Amino acid sequence: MRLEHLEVAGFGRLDDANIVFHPRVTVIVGDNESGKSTLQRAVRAALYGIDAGGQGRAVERSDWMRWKPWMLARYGIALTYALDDGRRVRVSRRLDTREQSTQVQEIGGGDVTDLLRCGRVVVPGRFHLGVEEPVFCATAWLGDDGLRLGAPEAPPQRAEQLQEAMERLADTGRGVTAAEAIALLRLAVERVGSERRLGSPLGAATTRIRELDGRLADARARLGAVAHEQERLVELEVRAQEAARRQLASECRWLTGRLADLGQRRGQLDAAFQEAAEHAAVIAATQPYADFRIADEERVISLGAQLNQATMAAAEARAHWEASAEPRRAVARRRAEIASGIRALGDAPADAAEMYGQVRQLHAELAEVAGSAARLDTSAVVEERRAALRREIAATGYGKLPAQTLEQLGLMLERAPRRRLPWWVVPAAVVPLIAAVAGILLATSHRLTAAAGALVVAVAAVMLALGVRRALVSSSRSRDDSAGPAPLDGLTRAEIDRLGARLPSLRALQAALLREEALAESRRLDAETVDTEAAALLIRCEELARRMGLAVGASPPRAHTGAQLERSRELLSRIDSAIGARMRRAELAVEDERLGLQEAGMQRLDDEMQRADAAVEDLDARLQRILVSAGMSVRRTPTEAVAAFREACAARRGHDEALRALEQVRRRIGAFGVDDTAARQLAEHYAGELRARGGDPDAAVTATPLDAAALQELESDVERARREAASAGSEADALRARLSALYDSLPSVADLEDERSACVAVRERALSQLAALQRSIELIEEATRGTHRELAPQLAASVQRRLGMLTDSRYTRVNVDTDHFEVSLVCSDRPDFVPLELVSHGTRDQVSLLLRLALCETLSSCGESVPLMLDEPLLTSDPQRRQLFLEFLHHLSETNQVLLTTTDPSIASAMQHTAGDDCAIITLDGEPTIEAAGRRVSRVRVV
Amino acid sequence: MSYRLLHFADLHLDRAFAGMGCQGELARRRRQGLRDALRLAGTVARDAGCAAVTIGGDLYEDERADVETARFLVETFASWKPMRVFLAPGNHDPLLPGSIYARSEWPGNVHLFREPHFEPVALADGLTLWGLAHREPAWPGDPLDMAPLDARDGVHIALFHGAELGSRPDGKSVHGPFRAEQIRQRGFAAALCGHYHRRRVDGASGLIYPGSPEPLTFDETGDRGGVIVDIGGDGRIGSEPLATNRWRALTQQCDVSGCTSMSAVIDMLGDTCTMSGDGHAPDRLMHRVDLVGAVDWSVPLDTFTLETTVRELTGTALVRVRDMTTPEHDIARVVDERSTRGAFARAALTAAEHAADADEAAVLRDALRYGLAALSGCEVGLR
Repeated sequence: MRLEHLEVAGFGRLDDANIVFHPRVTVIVGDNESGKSTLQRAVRAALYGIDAGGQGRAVERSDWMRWKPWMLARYGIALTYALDDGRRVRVSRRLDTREQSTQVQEIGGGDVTDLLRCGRVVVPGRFHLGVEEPVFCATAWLGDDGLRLGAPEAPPQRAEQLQEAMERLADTGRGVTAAEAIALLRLAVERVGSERRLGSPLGAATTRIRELDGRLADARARLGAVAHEQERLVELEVRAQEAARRQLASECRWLTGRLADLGQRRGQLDAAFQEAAEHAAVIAATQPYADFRIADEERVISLGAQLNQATMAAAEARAHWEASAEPRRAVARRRAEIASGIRALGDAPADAAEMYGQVRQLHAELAEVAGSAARLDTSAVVEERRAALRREIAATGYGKLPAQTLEQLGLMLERAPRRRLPWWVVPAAVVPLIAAVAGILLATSHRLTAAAGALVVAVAAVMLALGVRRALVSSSRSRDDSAGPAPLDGLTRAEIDRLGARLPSLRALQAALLREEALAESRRLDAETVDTEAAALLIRCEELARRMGLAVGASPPRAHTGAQLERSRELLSRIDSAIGARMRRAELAVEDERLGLQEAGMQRLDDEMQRADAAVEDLDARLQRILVSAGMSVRRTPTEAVAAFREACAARRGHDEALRALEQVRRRIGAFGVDDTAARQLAEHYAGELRARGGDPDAAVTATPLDAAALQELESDVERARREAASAGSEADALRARLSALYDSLPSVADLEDERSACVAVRERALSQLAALQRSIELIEEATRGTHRELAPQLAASVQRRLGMLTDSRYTRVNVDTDHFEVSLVCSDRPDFVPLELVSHGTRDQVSLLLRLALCETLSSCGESVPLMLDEPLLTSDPQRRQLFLEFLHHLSETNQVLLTTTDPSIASAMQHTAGDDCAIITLDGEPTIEAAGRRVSRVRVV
Repeated sequence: MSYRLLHFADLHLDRAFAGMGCQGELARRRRQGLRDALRLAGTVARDAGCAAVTIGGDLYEDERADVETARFLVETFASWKPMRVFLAPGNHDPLLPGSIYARSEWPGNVHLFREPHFEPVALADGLTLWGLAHREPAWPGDPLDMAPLDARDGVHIALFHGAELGSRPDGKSVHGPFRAEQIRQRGFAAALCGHYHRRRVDGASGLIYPGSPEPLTFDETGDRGGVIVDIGGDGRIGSEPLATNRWRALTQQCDVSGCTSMSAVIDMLGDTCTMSGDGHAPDRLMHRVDLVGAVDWSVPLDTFTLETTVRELTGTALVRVRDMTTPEHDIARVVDERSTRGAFARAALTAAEHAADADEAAVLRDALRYGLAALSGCEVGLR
């Protein structure tokens, strides 16, 4: 700021004064009370206004009252100044009234009065210089006793304001102080709040987050419980559906079964009705026979049958009778022939039949004996075999040896080396015998005799075998007893040896011969037996022949069996013939008897025929009676009659049967319990029910009907399923109702989470803001500390630099206490700091002045340059120091305009001499004002 | 054979809108808006004569969906009968054991794809729909990793949730990655997809991303809705994107340079919102406004106050303000000051440059702004 022009309409003793200031140094020279201080005061009043008292301050003692114009002139001032940015401002104040009318005009701009108002007072100095009036007075504006320590406007008395101003300048260059900025930041922090302060956004968000967390946990728990219940509900619904399905299925099956049953029953009912109808038709058709005497049927049938039979019998009898006509004639003829034949044959013995039997017996025996004889007729063969054996034995040369000798020899040979009896010897001896016996048995076929013969032969064979064995053993024993075979019966040893070699064969031949001889003996015995039998037989034949009356003749002597047999045979033949004749007679008699019977029988045929006819008639009559009594017409034939009766009876039976059947059918129909209409309705109902349940009634009709037990079971199933479905359904309904009630009260997790997210965002944002604000505060505080730490040294350095120059380095160091703006000096004579009040008055004033200069420089360095207005600052300075000061001021005027008032013209001259064109001298003449242009003006001379 | 269906995806029922700044009643209205969008889809499909509706995943958000959501879906789909509904679960609604998909009893017209590989469903003679499901929240599998289909068997359409790698938006998660050129290589005439919220209909490759039916973030601007897809017997695919969204999101800039007071900023902001929202129902409009320009320190820009005031002035459902203004002060000049302010600015800038992370740097930048505002003697406007 550089002051340009001051117009004083009236201020103190100044009256209508116009002061034009030099941009750099203006020296106001004038005598005492010429208005120098008044002029300076006017400038200050223009910048900061003037206190007019009030609010506890006496108006009379106010500055406004003090600086009222002496003359009764207008009370007003106007100051024009230029700011460092080039703006030019004119402040005009009309101070006629305590309210003071002020106008600030930007030259080339507009009215900026309101922009420079602070409360009700317009203080352009505060806004443009950036310092309050006290600071201005403590620094740039030096009053008439401003250098005095303890002066009210001295820096120490304005320390607080100075400090604030310094800080303000240091902090923001005439803006806010760091403390004020920090206060603003703390206000912002207050606005954000804290997590604990519920009324703040952060506290509210934090608290709300906690609440929401709790509500979310609760909501999730409730939702989890609801979900669990829902799952349970699903299970219940599934169970209910399953049960319903089972119920439905059971109902369908039941309905199907019932429909099938109904269908069957309806079918049965229909069939029953049809049957009933049929029966009714039958009844109707057979109604005429309703009272028919069915009890006579059997009689009728019987009669009919009898009649038929009788008729048939009669017919048969007649046929027989008729058929027997020729046989009858034949029988008659034959009987006649027989009679004649019998007569021809004569009489027959009474016992012819018995004789015939005997003859048969004799024949049989004859055949048997003949057979036996034939079998025994092999003597020649046997004899021949024996002869052959003898020849073989003789051929051995030892034929003459008796068998006993051979036996002994054999035993001897066995003992020497004991010769065993070959195993085949005994069987070889026995088997042939047995075979012979068997052959005899077979040949004779005479059991008893054969058996006896066999027994004899067997015994003989056994005895033979034992004898042979004994002989062999004895032979061997005798052999053993001797040293060797001894000559026997004149046989030499060589012959014995030779005999021994042939002995086996010889013995075999001997044995065979013995057997043949035994056989021959046996045969002989048999032959004797046969002969005896033949003789006996002959005798009987002869006896029989005699009985038959046959000539027997002489019996042959007991001769050959064969002849006897022949004789017997002949006799039997004759007997046979005789018997035959007699038999013939008997036969004829028998035949005749037979024919007689036959004839009698034929005669019986006639009787039978007649009886049959009579029977037929009787039967027919009875039959017809019955028919008539039964109301039937007479029939031609019994068959027809019976058939008709049977038919009628059948009709009656049919009628009765139909009645019974109809009754049964009706009972059955009644047993159904429902009539067809009801059954149909019921079936339709069931069909509808089944259809409603998704079943197929058409298929049900053809399904297999279920029995009562199955239906009952299905009903039980249905009931069980229904109860289960109902239970599950009611449980599900209850649960559903409970859940429905819950749904409305269920918190919305989404909403809660949304709100939480928003609160979290608010909180995070607030925390971020807090963090930023806190960091900002910290950084400002740190910057402030650093900046403020430099203030005092800067001031001290500024003062110290000039003081050193001023005092020829007498004072080397200066300390400025920025808290109190007290200065202490270090003198070269003293090591410690000396307070300002202890130094000389001149030095003190100079130091104070230097301090003000330093303060001005400092104030000016961070904003608008402050014009320095010094009223008599050099009164206590010696010329040297005065000159230095003037030089300081001139130098300072480069940045800060200097307004210097003095009563000493030499100071003005010195200044002019120092500053040259950079200085203007204004002399305030103390002469009374003169009139100029009709106005009283002070005489101001600008040099 | 011509078959018409409606395809949409990424509805995100029960989504939290806190990220958009919606909370309380507004958030509830937005979520209700998503449900209305689902119902509207069914109405549109029916009016257009569609035989089916395909949903390409992210139908709901599994972490937030509850029993009521399940009921709503079941009832809605049931009301669409006889239209068929085909569901292909995505990464936000994977087919997990306890999920809505698994727990709900879907009506008969709904077909849910359950396997992480394609399974066929016959739509019509000669037309087959192949769908797959995400069974985990972050499935990295390739949906089109399969043997090519035989075109002689008819027309094949794919339905799945996946990330087409050639057009992936920045920061979008990769679930079910695939490439568009694989679609035709595998024998599909078209791929009805979901995952990307921006609509993309590429006739050359057959790729169809319908986009989200309603805006879920401020970046999802413009017309939105499903896509009507017509499938010809020769495999020719026709598509008609729909504009059925009822909510709108707008992002604008507002240069508040020269404003000397909050009122001026509010007025300018209000004018911006009013002009840009012209033609749209304000109660379903969501503005995001970036304040730019140089503002004097003395203007305390409080975003919360701006949002609240402008919302009330314009009746807009939501106004979000981002303060991107720069202080009018020349920071370089401030830094050169020898004052406390200069020291503070230097210290703050240095600390911001050496900040450990972006958050700390942002805090320091805000600290600088707040400090300079305070050192200017102005009320500190909180961002």
